[in-house]
Amino acid sequence: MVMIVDGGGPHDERFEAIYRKCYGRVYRYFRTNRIADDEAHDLSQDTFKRLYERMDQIRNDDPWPFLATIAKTVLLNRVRARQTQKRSATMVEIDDPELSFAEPAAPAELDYADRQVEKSRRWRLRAAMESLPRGQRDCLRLRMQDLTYDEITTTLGISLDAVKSRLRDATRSLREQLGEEP
Amino acid sequence: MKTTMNRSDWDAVRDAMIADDQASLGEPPSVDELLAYERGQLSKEDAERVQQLLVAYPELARAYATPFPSDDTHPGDADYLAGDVIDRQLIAFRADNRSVAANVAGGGTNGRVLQFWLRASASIAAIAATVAIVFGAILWHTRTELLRPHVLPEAAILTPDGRRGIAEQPQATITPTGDSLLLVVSLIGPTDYETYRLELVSGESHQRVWSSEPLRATSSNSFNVEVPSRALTAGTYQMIAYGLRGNAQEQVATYTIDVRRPSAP
Repeated sequence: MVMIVDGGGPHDERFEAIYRKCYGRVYRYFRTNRIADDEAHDLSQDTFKRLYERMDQIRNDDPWPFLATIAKTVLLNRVRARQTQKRSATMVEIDDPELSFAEPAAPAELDYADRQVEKSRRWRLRAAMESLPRGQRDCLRLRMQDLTYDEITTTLGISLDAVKSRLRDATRSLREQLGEEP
Repeated sequence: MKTTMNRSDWDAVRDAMIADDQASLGEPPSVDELLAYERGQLSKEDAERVQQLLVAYPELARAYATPFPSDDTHPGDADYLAGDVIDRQLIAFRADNRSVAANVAGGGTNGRVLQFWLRASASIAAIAATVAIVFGAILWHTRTELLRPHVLPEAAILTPDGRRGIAEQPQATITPTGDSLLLVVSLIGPTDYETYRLELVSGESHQRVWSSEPLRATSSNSFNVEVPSRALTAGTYQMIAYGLRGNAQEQVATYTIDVRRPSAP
């Protein structure tokens, strides 16, 4: 049995038991959220570090709810930090020489007529989406981000039936406006 | 008009809407807000705002909504971790967090109690040191004063009531002017008791003001009692002398004293 603290505090044996039992589950939680293997381990360690600092706050026999909240907080902090970073990202001049070697090859350029057609299509699609009632639009946008029905249910705090119904209505409305299967 | 949308159209419109929403709605919700939203602790308005922000920040929405995987996994399952991998992670955790662990060991409930007492002990030690210095100074001053000769306060010689010759002789009248006064209690009559005890009693309330330990009679058959002037407010007092023999005591004499405050200059 590996002890975390050489001195052997009252929580150490319990912490180690929790670590061995739950580490894999915490790690898989991060992996489910599309986080790379190395970073998933880092976030898992961070989660258990926070748990270790709060061992005396575990109120009942099952530490999982407490640990799950910590893991979720770690994940949300990480994602939120990335989002904020994106929003405040430094703008780089298009002529910056450092961009030259990282730039992917430019796609074949559309001619002017094709660009106008594409622009018109997208304008019509956006107008059609914005004409949807907010509930339908929110469901559709989350679905377009590949969130599952269950995840949309959790995000918007509505029932699974409501999610299905709103998506069905949104699809029908778009089909009527755009004349195609979205 | 029938329009055929391709995948890039959908992606482009989706991304444009997200960019516009993020620009207009601002920063993503805080983690505390999200946890409060999850627990249903937000007002209706705040909950709607968080919902809008989650739609505007779909990566955050995914992280918020992704359920925890089940605890039941087996070798071969996606992202299954074998026991030796977890062992290595635990060893790494121990190596990385030794200082944290040490801090926590000192910062847990027991640690906090220990730290409280350590801090309290330091405070108590500081107070004790201050008190020791003050008492030391007082003791030194007192000892120095005791070693110096000093003049005795004014003395009042008390004779027992009814032993002043004629009955109308006035009782002892005292007007303290200094810090203290000396009462000389004279014993007249039988002085064959083993010891004596003196008691000072308020004449009005009959409350005991002071009582002595057992005293051996002096060769002059008198006792000298130094009384702080502040202990005697104006009024009548009685000094009572008791003779002690074994466990028995007998009132030997009383001395009535009339204390008056000095008149203002």
